[in-house]
Amino acid sequence: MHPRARVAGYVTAAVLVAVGTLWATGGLAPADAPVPTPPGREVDQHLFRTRLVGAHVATIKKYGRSTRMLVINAWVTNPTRETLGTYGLNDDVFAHGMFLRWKARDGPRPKLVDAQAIAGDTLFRSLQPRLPTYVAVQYELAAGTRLPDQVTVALADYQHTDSGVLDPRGYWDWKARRYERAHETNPLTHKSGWVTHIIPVLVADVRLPVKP
Amino acid sequence: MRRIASIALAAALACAAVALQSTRWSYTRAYGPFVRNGRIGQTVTEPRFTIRVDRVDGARTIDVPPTQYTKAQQITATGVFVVVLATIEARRSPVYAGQARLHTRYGDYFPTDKLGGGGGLSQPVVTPLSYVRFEPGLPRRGAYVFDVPPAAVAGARLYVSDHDAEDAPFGFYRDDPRRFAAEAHVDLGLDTAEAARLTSRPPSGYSVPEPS
Repeated sequence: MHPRARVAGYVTAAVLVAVGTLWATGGLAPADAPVPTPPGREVDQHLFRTRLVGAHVATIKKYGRSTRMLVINAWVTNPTRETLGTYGLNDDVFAHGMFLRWKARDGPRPKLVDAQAIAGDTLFRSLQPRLPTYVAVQYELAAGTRLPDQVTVALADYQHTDSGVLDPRGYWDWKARRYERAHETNPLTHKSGWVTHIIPVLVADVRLPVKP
Repeated sequence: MRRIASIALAAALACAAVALQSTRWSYTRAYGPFVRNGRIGQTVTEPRFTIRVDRVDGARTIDVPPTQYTKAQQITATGVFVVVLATIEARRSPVYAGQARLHTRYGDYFPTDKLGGGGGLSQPVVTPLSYVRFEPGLPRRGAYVFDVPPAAVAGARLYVSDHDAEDAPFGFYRDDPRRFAAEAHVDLGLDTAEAARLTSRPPSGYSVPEPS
């Protein structure tokens, strides 16, 4: 064999091995393990810049019924050029980028019910561009839930899709670590079908002491 | 020689294809609003309404008088309140001028939801112009209130249209309220000196007028 052809063969084989290894290990994307972060340190979620500052238990009376809540407080800045929200139906609201790490032995998982911004005595839900806003995220505690001394909150990463089939104006959604498909039934329409869920990349784990 | 020319031609065609892709119209240019420009003190005439911005004020806090059901409140700005006082009149049929934004160098600010009324489920404590139904021949004067960082005020412009998501129920992207909207862009005359006057010592206890 001609020496030049042999070199070309070695180079081709080396490239194939390198590409195969990258493909098998998930490529050159950065590792997506959440970084342990102390309370009060800013976390860049790309859609929000977030400082989780505390957690406490509160009893909220609504419609004549008292409910025990876990409240997590954060300073949130919206770095984008559009007004965003603290709570709503889509993934691109602040509260939907927060996940409680929960152990089954502590009882039923707290249920996210609302997130409101607070300024003095005023409650609101908009996160205007570049205005640092104090937000309280509320989780309803079931009767059998035992709250640990500390809770760990994971924060999701977001990414912007410039344009796509669904919306050419562009939109924000969780940065996907992977996708999961599930067969589900809509409780309102009773229609069934396959639904794809995003499993988000988590950028930070913040451990917060819970004040009773 | 012919082979080199063929390769060069193929490369040139590939570059041209990529360049053509990036020179297509943006979504906003292709489907965005039909804009009429104006400035403070001038009447801007749109097909369904006219708007004249009369004055722009700054405020640190807004006082809300007590009502039969609520106590007196003081609402604090996270940045500074920019209160745009304007007169709007419908031209042919009843209309809402519900899509208002303060366009700044930091991005687009929606009217603050600190006055309440979010989601249309409750009555705001002060009625902004976005909640008013205008009738032909009956001009009404009122306010749009924005909460913005002081540094965003210089050069800010008011964007107002009568479109909302319900008004554009055609096409694939029908939920875009700005698609083909008739939009008034009003220069508020906020040069650096005027912005500094509004933001350096904004008054506390500002009373936002109810629509006349």
